[in-house]
Amino acid sequence: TGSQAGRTRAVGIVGIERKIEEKRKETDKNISESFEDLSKLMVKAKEMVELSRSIANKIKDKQGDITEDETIRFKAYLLSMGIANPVTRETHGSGTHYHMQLAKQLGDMLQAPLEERGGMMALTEVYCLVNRARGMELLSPEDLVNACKMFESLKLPLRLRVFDSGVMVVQLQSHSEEEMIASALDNVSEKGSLTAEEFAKLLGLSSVLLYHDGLQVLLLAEKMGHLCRDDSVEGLRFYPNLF
Amino acid sequence: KMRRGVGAGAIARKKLAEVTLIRGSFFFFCQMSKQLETFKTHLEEFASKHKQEIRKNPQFRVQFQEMCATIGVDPLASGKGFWSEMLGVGDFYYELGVQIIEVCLALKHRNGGLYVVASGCGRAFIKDSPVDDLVRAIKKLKVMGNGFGMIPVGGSYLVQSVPAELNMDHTVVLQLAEKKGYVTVREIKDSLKWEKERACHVLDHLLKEGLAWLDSQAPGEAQYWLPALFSELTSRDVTPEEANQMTP
Repeated sequence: TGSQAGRTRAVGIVGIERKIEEKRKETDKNISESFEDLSKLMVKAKEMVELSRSIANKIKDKQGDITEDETIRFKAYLLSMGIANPVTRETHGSGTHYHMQLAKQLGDMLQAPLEERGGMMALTEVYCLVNRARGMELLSPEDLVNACKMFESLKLPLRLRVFDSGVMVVQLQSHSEEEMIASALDNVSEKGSLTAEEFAKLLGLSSVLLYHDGLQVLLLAEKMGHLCRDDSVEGLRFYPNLF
Repeated sequence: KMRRGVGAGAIARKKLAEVTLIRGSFFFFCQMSKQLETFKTHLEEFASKHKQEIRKNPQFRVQFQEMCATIGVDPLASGKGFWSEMLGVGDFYYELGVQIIEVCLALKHRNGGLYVVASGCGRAFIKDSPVDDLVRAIKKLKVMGNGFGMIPVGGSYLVQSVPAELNMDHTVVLQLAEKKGYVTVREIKDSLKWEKERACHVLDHLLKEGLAWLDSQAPGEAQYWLPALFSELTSRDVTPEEANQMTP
């Protein structure tokens, strides 16, 4: 009976092993099947890309032939497929319907948060704010940038701005640079000197990333000759320009 | 009879060509709409079978992205694209992007805005993501201006979440510091064959930008520690206070 018990146990373990093996094989089969399906799908997608290229060339060659409506449809089509074609996009028509709608939505949505934060937010922050609020069907970074680019043409009270440093921010239109610079000068002369970080704190710019906006304002004031800098290991400090 | 048939066909074809010339695009647009519908069906079919696979299997995601890149399609370009809407690839990466930004902002005061992407950083989602996914998500974030950069060190990446100026010299020193978490002037001189001034200049810049801390009590000579590479710090979870700092 002892050998029999041993045998059953061996069967048991072998059985489990076999089951695991079967499961692994099945998973492998599923995976290889999905890879196969993926390749097939990509063949279809490739056809679409080629067709869109030939249409893009047509648009480039004979601009007169294409109606506004067709261009808009073509753009929606490129957007659906994920085909970047900046040449066609930039020269014919300004954007897509989707991004226009999105720009309007952003206009409503960002007004209050911008006011709370002194009229300016880094684009990365806007990205977090908007996507956190959505939860699903999130915006891609490109969606956000493209929508923000349309603020001006839609006459919304917001602006997309790119600083010299390459940092992108969304500003309220009412947000005035002169005011920021004036407050920078006030603060610097009151405290003696300031770093960008200290200045951002004084302004109540909420996020650490916006320290750079503080820096941009100080740099502007320097450019205009109101401030001068003290650059050392201690950090970059700004003083009233007594020279 | 044969010839006439050919002739009629030829005339018909010529007429068609003229029509096509006049409204050249119309034909294409009809064709496009039709093909687009067909493709949508294919994609729907694919999605119903393999949608889970994309979420679950990183290897499958890599394959998918690589194939898309080969044919010139960017499935992550828009949340309004077919790929995003049907396969959910968009939300997967956009959400990852949001989490990366939040973690970088929350930890900026610790590490000066540099952050090792390979290490677990306390948020479940990021921790489980393969480096490939993180790199892809970060590359997308670059569209939003000069906020994010990536510096390869060792086998992983340093993510730069504030636009500090980092030139080749800075990068090389960061790479040198990767193993131990710190560098000294002597190490830089020995391994990079630099003059002392050049080494000091780079280290001063890192100090000024808040990327390095000076330890003047180290045996021998002063050590410059990079909190971003200092594993004790990077492996620690985000504290509630830091989470509060994450705006918005």
